[in-house]
Amino acid sequence: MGTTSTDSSMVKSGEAGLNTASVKPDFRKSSIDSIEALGMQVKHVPKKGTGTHSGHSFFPRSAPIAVTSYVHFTKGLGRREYFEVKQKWVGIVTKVKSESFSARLVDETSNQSDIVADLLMEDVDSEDKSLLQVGAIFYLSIGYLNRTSGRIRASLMRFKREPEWSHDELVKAQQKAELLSKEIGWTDK
Amino acid sequence: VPGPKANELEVSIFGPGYGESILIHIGNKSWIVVDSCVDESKQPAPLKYLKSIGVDVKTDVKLIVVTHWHDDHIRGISNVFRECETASVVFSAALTPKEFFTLAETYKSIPSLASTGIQEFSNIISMLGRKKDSFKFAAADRILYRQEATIDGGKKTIQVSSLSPSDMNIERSFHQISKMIPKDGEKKLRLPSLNPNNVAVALWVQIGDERILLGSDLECDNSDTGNWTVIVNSSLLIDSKAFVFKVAHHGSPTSYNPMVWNRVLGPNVHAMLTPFVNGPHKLPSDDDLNRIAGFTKNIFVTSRPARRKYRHPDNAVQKRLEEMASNLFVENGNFGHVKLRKEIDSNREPEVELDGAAFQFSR
Repeated sequence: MGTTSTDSSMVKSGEAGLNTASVKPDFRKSSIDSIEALGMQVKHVPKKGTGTHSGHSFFPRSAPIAVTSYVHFTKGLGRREYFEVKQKWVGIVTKVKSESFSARLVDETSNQSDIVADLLMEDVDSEDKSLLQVGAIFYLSIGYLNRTSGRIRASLMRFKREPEWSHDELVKAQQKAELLSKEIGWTDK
Repeated sequence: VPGPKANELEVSIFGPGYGESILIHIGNKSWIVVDSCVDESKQPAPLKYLKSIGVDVKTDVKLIVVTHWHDDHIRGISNVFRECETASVVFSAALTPKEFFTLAETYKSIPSLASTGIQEFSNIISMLGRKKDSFKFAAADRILYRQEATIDGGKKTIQVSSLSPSDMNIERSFHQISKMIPKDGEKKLRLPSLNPNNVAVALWVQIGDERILLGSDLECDNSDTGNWTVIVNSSLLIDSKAFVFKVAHHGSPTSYNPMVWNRVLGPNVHAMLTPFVNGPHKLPSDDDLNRIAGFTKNIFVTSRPARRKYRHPDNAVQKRLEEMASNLFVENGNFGHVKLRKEIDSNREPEVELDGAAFQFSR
């Protein structure tokens, strides 16, 4: 895991999984670690304009709230910088090849049909590469990184870090299953 | 759209490209649902269709059969179960041991790791638990539903029987399922599928003198006592030949057994199938369709096994996606519906209607 920084000029896409289409060099100097590590806050307002959403406005650090499709970096990015999400997917790795991997992308934004795609290995954060295997889950967001110096089309890919299965989890599931087995009977009706 | 008449049977098959669902009208406004798939708006196709023809799903659906747990056959099935309040639900006997419940409960807590199949099963199991209700299990040579009905003034036997899974495959799957339950300290990964399809439920439907064979995704398993060989010799199938066959496993070579075509199905049987398109895997192939065409000229497919390219409505998102991804396709992009209706026990030829991407194959 990299370090976080409040220096807005320090944004490193390689570690962050944050990739931009047009201004990649800027981001290779950053030190964003992950959305979670940044203390990112996301809040969804049911309909645009019904909450505190204020379009493309600036969200002050003292009130780190992001609304609707905005992801607000409370650490790592500068005061006036945020990642505006246009589309989110949850990805499931279905095949790993030498330079790419196949995945199913489940739409998290508009509940549309799943899509299948081959994604480039080089877009995976170096720290996430060990997590890349069939069955792994990742989050892919595409949007804009809004900075004081301009707006950049960007994507963010992070692999899910799950703790290993614990004894408690497994015992709990087993107990629930036993209870269900008792509640549900067999029928010849 | 008017529904079938009381004296008509209907077999409707829905396929979005990755998915399959079958509806059968067994006469007198009674329906059975076999598996479920969703359309592009993620609505369960069987429910949407039944409502569109004015069926009261609460009372008129008598039986829901969940043939196996693969994602392409189960999407939306828990919603179907929720809405069809009076229907009995049937699972493959392979999915009834406590180990399977444990597997379902384990993954239920982490939805992103669970396949759609396990989530749907889990939802049904929870609903049954809340209702203190029960379900039936399907195995070889088992009657799941039977009714003596009066249709057009005559007495007709309506019977739905399961032809699989065999006892041997049930036992094998118990073993497989046990191995799939995660162990303490293991990495959390998405639940893999249970392969091959040896525990899928094939069905034999009798409506008066009419017979329908639904092959689910049952594969042969390449042994002398392979699944389809056992079925061909089933005592349930000796009385009459089927005039409709839902071709097993999307017409794949692994589900093909010539004895089924020669001994169980009537001449020029109406063969209905859905495609399976997932990544590079595509069924049926041209060879598959040509092989089927050697037995019948009546081949109806819900859509071609082609993938539709994905395009995001927002150009900026599309552009970025193209920069980072290739082979971008919509998973459920080719929805089609094949509908067959026939007056029960009449000599009239069935009428087939094709909707959406459905087509009739001809060489």
